[in-house]
Amino acid sequence: MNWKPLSWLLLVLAATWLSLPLTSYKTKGPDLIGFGALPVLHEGRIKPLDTVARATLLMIQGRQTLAAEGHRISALEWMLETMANPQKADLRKIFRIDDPDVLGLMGKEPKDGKYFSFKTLSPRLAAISEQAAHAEHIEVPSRSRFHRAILNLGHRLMVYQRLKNSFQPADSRNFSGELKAYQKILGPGREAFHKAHSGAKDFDQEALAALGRFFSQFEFLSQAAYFRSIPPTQGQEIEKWQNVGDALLESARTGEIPPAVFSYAEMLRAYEDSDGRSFNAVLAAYRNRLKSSQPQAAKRAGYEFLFNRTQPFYKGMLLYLAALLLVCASWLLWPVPLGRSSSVLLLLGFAVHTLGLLSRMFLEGRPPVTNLYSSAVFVGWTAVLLGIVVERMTRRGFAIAMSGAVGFATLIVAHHLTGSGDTMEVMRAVLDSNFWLATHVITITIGYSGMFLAGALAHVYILGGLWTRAINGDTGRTLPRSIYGVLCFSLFFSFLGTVLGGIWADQSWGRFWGWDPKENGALLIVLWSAFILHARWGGYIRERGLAVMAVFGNVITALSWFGVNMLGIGLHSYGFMDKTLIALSAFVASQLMVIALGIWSVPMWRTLFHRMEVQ
Amino acid sequence: MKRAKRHGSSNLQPDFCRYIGGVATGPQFHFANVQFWIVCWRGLASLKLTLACLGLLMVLVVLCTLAQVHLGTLGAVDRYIRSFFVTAPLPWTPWQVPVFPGGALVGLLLLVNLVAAHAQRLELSWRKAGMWAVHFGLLLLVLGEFMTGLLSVESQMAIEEGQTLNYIESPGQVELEASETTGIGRTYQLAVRPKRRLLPFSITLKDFTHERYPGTEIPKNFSSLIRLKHPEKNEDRDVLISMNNPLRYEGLAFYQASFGKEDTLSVLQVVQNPAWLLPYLACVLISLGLLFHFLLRLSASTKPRRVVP
Repeated sequence: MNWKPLSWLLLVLAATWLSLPLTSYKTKGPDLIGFGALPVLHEGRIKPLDTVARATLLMIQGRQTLAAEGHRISALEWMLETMANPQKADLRKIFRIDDPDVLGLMGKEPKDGKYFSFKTLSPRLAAISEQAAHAEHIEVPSRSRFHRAILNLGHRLMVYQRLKNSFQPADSRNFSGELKAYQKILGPGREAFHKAHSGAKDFDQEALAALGRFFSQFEFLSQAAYFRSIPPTQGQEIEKWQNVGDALLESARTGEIPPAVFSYAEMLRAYEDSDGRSFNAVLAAYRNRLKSSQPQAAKRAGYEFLFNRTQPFYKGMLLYLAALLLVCASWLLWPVPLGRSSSVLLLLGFAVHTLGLLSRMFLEGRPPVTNLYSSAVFVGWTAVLLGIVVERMTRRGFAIAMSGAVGFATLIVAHHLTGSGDTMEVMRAVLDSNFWLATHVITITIGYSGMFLAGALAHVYILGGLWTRAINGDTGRTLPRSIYGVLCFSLFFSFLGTVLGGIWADQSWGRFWGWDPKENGALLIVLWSAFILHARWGGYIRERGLAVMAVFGNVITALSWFGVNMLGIGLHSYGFMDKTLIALSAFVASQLMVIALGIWSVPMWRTLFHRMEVQ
Repeated sequence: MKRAKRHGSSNLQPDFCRYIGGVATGPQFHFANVQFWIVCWRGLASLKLTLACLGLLMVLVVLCTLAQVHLGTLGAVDRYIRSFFVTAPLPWTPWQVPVFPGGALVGLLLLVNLVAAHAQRLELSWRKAGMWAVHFGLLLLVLGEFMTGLLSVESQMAIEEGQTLNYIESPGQVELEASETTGIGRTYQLAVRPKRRLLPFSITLKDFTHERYPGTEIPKNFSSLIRLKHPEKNEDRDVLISMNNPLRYEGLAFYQASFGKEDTLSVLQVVQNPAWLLPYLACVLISLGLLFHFLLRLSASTKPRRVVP
C-alpha cells in the first residue's frame, strides 16, 4: 500500500476539524460570539467576557460547560443567563460539593448527588457563612479538610452572587427602564442637591429623594459587581475602567451616564425576552463604539476569545494521542504507511501546540512560562520538539511514539491545572520580571522536558525489551544512545536553570542559594543526572541500568515539579492541592513498577532471549 | 610492625580491591605502609566515591526539604546541610550521636574527590577541556557558597519617607545606647536597640510606591526612590530601588524587602557579600564547559553515520 494517500487524507481531515471553530455562522438567536468577545477588566487585566465565564463556571462547577435539558450549555450562555435571568439560573445544579461534612451541614447525604443548585443551598446560606467565617480565623496550616471545603463553598457562593449583580441588580425586573427613569431624574436631582447643599430652602425634595434611592442601589452594585465592564469614555488606561455601580455613582457627579451601561442593560433585557434581533442590534452598536474608543482592548479580547474557542492545547493533545496510537499500530501492521501518517499527525499537533503557545505569549506579552499551568504546556512542547529532533537522527519511530506520549500526558496535566480558573493571571511583584521568566524559568522547564523524554524513551527500552523482540540490532544500540544524549541535554539545562535561579534570588533578595524546597527540587534533578552520567562513564551501569535510572529521573522530576508545591512552605509554593497529590502518587507508583520490571524481570525478557538465539 | 609490613608487600595486588575508599578491611592495615597511602589516594580519586557522595547529597537534600515543614528552612539547613554529622538523640540518654554524614562532610569529600580525580585521572587535553571547565566551575560555586557563609553580613534599613539615615541595623544583635537627659546633674538614659553600623554615606527616602493591579490587591511592584549622598566622593544622586533591581554601592547591596506604616515606610535588606560574583563566574564556566563537552560528544557520535549511509 502506498503511504501518501493515507497521510494526505489524514492531514486534510485533521485540518478541517481544526478550522471548524474559526468559521462563523449566522443564527437567528443572539450573537454569542460577538458578546463573548466584549472586553472587561477582571483580576487586574483586560479579558473577554468568555474568559470570565469559563473561569467562573470552572471554579464553581469544576467544568467549563454545563449539562442541561439534554444538551450542553457553554459557560458564556450560563453566565448570560445568570445575569439576565437569575431566577432561572438559581435552579441550575452547579455547586459541586464533595466533602461529606459539608454535605451533612446542608442536610444532604452522598446519595443525593454532588451537584446542587443555588436555590437548594439558599436556606443554608447563614450556616455556611457562619462556618466559613469561623474557618477563616484558623491559620492555614491547621485548617481541616472540612474547613477548606466550607471556605471554598463560601467563596464560590459569594462569586456567584457577585456575578448576578455585575451588570444590573439581581432583583431588578427592568433595569434598562429604571436607568431611563434615573436619566430623567438626574438633572433635577443634581440641581436640587446643589441647592440643598448651598443652604437654599426651595429645592425639589421629591427629585432629591428619588436620586437618593437610586444612589443606595448603585452603591450596592459598586460593592457587588464581579468585574469592571464600563470602559473609560476618554483615554485607554486600564485603571480607568469602572464597574456598573461606580460608573453610575460617578454619573451623579458628572451628570452623564456612560452609554455602555445602557448597552449592557438593554442586551440583558433582550436576552431575557429571547429577542435575538434587538440583542444583536445593541451589541453591534456597542462593538462599533468600542472599536473607535478602545481599539486595543477590543482587539485583544477578541483574539483571546478566538484562542478560547479554538482550544489549541486540547486539540494538540488529541492529535498527539492519535499519533501515539498510530505508531503503536504501525509496529503491528503496515509499518511504513502508518508510521509516516503518525509523523504527519505529530507534526500537525506540534504546529497547533506552537500556535497556541505563541498566542499565549502574544496575549500576555510575556515569555511562555508564567505559572504552573503554562509550565506543563511548555514542558510538553519542548519534549515534543526534542523528540522530533531525536527522531530525525535515529529514524526508528520510538521517538515519535514517546514525543506523542509526553506531549499528550503533559497537556492532560495542563488541562487539569486550569482548576484555578484564568490561566493568564497577572504576575505578582516578585515574579514580575520578563528577563528572569525568560531565562531561569525557561531553562529549568526545558530541563524537565529532557528528563521526561529520557524517562519515556527508557520505558520503550524496558517494556519493549520485556514484551517484544524489537529492542535489537540497530534499535538496541540507538535507543540507549538517545536516552544518554537526551539526559546530557537535560543536565545542561537543569544545571543552567538552577544556577540562574540562584542568580535571580541574589538579584532580588541578596542570597544566592537558600535551600528553598523548589531550589532543592531543581538541585535534585541536577544531582541525579550527574549521578547517572558518572555511573555510565565509570562503566557501573550499561544500557539497562541507564534506562532504569532514567525512569527514576521521571519520579524525581515530577516530585520537584509538583511535590514541592505540596509542602506548602517556601517562596515558591502555590498552595495545597489534594487531587494533584493522588495523581502524583499514582504516577510515582507506576514509575516504580517499571523500575522494578527493569531490574528484576530480566530472565523473562524476550529481547534478550532473541539475542541469545541469534548468537 | 614487621609482620604487618611483610603482609602488605607479599600479597599486594589482591589486597588493593579490599582497600576501596581508603578503608582497610584486613590485617594488612598500617599507616607507615606506602601502599596504603596509594590505595587511600586512589580511593579518594575514585568514581565510586563520587557516586556515593552524590547519592548521599541527594538523600540529605530530600531530608532537608521534608524537615523544613517542622524545623523551618534555617533549622533544617543547619541540621542536614551545614553540619558534619546529622545527629539524633540516643534513647534514654542525654547524648546526641551521629547517625548520618552531614552536608558539610559530604561536600568536603566531594571537593577532595574532585581535585584528586583531576590530579590522577583526567587528562589535560582539548577533548577533556569541557570537563575541566565544568569541574573548576563547580569548585568555584562551592567555594563561593562557603565564603558567603563565612563572610556575608545581612542587615536592614527601615526608613520612612522624608527620613535620612546613615546607618544600617542588624535585627538579630542588640547594643546598649546611652543618651544624656536634661535635668539637674548628669543623668543618662540606657536603651537597648538593634546593633547599628555607620555608613560613610547617607540615604534619604524620597518616595515609596506600592503598585497594585487595578481592581485587585495583587501587588504589581514595590519601589523606593532614594537620594544617595556621599560628601567625600562628591556623590549626590537619585536611585530607584525596586523588586529585582537592587542598588549596589560601596560593597553593599540594598534590596527592596518589605514595607509598612500604610506604605510610608520602606524596609531595605542590606547585604555585604564580597563573594557575590563567584556564582556568576561559575555559572558561565560550567555552562560553557557542558556545552563544549556535549557538542563535542554529539558531533563525534553522529560522524560515523554520515559516512555510512
